[in-house]
Amino acid sequence: MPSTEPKSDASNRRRTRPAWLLFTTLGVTVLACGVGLWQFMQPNLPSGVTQARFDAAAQQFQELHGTGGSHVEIVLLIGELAVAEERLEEARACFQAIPSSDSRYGPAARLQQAQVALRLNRAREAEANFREFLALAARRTDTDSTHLNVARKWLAYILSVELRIEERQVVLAELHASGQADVYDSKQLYLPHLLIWPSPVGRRKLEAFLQQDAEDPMLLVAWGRYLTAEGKPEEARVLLSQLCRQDPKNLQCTAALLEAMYEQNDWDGFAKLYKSVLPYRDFEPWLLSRLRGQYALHQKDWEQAVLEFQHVLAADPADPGAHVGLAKAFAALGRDVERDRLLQQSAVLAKMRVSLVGVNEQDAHAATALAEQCEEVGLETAARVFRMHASRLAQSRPHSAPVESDARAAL
Amino acid sequence: MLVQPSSQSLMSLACGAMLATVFGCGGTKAERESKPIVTLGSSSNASSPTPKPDGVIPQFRIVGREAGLDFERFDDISGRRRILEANGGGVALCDFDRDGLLDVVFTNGCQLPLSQNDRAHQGAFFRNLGEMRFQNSTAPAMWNQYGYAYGCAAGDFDADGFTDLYVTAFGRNSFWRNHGDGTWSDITDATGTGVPQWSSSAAFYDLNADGFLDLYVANYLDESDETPRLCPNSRSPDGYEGCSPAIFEGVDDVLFLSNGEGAFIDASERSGIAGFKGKGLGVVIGDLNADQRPEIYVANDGQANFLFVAAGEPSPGSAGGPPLVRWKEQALASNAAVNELGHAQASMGIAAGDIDRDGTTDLFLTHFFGDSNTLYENRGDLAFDDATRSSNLGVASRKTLGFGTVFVDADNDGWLDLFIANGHVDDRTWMADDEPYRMHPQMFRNETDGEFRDVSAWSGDYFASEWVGRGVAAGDLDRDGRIDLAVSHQLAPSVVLHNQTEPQGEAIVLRLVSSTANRDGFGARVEIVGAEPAIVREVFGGGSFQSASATELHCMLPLKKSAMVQIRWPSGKTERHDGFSAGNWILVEDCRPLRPFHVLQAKPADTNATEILNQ
Repeated sequence: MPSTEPKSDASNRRRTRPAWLLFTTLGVTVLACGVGLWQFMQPNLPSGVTQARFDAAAQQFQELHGTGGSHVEIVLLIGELAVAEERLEEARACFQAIPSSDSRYGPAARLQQAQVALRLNRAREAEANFREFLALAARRTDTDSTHLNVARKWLAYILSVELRIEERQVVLAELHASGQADVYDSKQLYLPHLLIWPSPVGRRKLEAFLQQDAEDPMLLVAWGRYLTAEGKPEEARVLLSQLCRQDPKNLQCTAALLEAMYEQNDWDGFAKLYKSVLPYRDFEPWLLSRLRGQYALHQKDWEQAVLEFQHVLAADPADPGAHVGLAKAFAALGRDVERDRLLQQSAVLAKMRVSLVGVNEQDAHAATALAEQCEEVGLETAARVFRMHASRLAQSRPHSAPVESDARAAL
Repeated sequence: MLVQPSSQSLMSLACGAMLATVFGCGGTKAERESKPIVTLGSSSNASSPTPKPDGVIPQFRIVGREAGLDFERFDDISGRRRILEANGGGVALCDFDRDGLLDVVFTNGCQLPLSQNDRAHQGAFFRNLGEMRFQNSTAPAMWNQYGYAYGCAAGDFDADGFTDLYVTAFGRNSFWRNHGDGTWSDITDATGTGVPQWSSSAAFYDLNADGFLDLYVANYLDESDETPRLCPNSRSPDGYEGCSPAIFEGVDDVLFLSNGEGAFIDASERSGIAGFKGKGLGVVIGDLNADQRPEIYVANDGQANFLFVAAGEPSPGSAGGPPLVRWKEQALASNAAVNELGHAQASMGIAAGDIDRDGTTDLFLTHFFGDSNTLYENRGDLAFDDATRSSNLGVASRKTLGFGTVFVDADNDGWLDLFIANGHVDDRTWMADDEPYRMHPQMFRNETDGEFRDVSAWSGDYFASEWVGRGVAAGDLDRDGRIDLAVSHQLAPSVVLHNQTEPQGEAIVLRLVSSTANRDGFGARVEIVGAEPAIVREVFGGGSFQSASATELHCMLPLKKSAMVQIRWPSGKTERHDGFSAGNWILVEDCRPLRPFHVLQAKPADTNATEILNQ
């Protein structure tokens, strides 16, 4: 018997150990699940935001508004405080944590995130958020028009830096339709090719964008165009050739590569690449349309040049290069009356281009003079818009909205 | 927390070229961000050093103080960056003392405003002593050019055999008569040519075919020295940046017609020159359509360039005045007003010459940083094509700001090469836009196929250094048959560039003397008979930037060591001379036998100039 006791004890121990282990495991599992569930039930804190900071912000919200804020409201507050304190990454994380689907704060979060992303030179993220904000706002009626215009102006800014002028026109048109366009917006919309591109400032901003998104194709295409403009078409070609190979359907890239070849006077290379480009179609890159015209001129295909430059002028009636190119084609075709008309217009456009820098929100007379020049070259809508700007400025009402009806009519 | 985009911040994106100064493009150096490294592809290959081109490369050696050419222009450059300070001065190469050697004249500025009556700074006249030695002869010449001068034009207006000098200025232009005894006197009042506006370049030419030299004066901007327009910029180290010319009004140019008696009549209104309010910086006069009548081409800063074409024959002047030509401006119709992109560029200097040897005069214009210079190729019948890209002159100029420029056959191969003096108008090195103030000058070799090649890197020490280059004039200073250059700088001594290129052939240099009152032969045209393609040279009025090149014509003799030369004189008379041999300077006077000029090379410095000419 005695021999059985120990055996019995050992047997009992053998029986109780798995039970103990089982209970322990079960307990740990339940605890873990509980913690997980608790955490799941708790709202997420944005990256970099501690619970202590959240709690402090919640307290601050309480003090500011006399009532406790929701999780989203407190995150938004943390984001705004972070912006004020230049902790932009934290701010970005806060705004990013607020879903667009949040009916009350989603649009605001997108706009805030877009602006912070822009300050961080994250061009793609900024653009996406500006666009999402505008899309969300379009489905609502309660969006402050100021916010809409801020979004549009900054979006136009990004598109300007990236030389995506065609896309910018759409944004600027919306800005005008909203009645909030200022003189500069109108210059960009109606006289895009009279402004000098690419500029040193734009280049610098693009560099900053590229620091954040070094592989972004749109930024790289723009970079190629800046290189060409700076007298480095060979470098531009190396870059753009590779980009175009990666995405042969990217017409912006193709146009930029053709532009580099045009600058180098490499018409053989131009012709080879141009063979792969489909015939003209609406909404193609303006640069491509202009280069089609130059190529036709080079080939002395005057009728084709007329056609191509007319496409350019349909997109931008104030394009000075298209005026000169078209005049040259008309001259070759013996259409002297049309040539003379275009040359006269190009002379006015040349004057406009130089004086454009002096047309701003401070000078009603300059806006009037520009309106007169627009009339001179048949840009009637632009003339009306600049006259309305002049009238508004004469009454010392900067950034007001009297251009709405006309701009909308024009668009 | 919305950040409102201001018009200003957006506007700054669109800044560029000459317009940039208004809105202050660019951040400070401290704001400069590190450049992104675009690693796609093998772009590093594109920036690898260019191999030295084959063939002869123009070589120039700096000649300055050690040779007696000791001059540094004073521009009263201040922290306020007045636009008056920006343009610098000009240089003239002309045999003023008729010793057969080209002398050198530099204009000078002064302290502003003019009311300070600065007498500490004056223009400088250097006699050429031969063998690239110079002597400052300003004082003995009594050439008291005070005031704020810019450009100069040289011409024997009174046909006394000694070349006179017209000096453009801010305030009042001045006219200097060369008495032939080594002295000059101010005859501005007597000639009635004291233009009070800010003038830049000027050109002598017989514009109404009466035999007397007339004068075209290109005026620039309407500005005041007492209350200059200033453009504050808080980011600039001195609180200002240079104002853009765009914010200033242009000024009409002036056309003076000689009355044949030593005075001039302002015919700007009646001749159709006035009323355009250009911003002229360069002017060249020549026969651009080979109709034996001159055209006037004006480079305007930020405005369409002018091409004045005579509309009909000269009509008799009223009350015994000089014959009058009506001029019609037609640069647009000639495709020479704006570039291929329809842009009125910041035109500064003009080089004129037949670069493609098709017998017509082509025009090259220097422009602003960020833009490209422009070559207007002459297709005949006053039709030009923008050949900037096809000539390879566009890409190479995107990062330069050009002023003086000349076509010269630097390597004696019969093809005109191109020199450009570069330098910014404003020291923007505090900005983050990589716009240097001092810049490398450029020498482009004519590749004979319509293209030019930048050979600056192999053309000598001068090109390896950076300068604020302004006026440029060309001429054979040591009479070795190779064209030298003189360059006026800002903030550095002006220099002569001695051409030491190994010549590919030998040239003759022709000094034309007309029997009419237009003794300098402005408008005369020389062709090497039988040269294929054509070698044609013309005596232009004006050209470059605020400067006057020598009127001698430099002609390469192809293959053979001698050639027949056809000269078409301004009168229309054409004559042929045979037996021109290479390596000589030849004095050609219409109606008189040819005279070699080479004997003058051995001339002692103190020999009476007139005697030598009459040997």
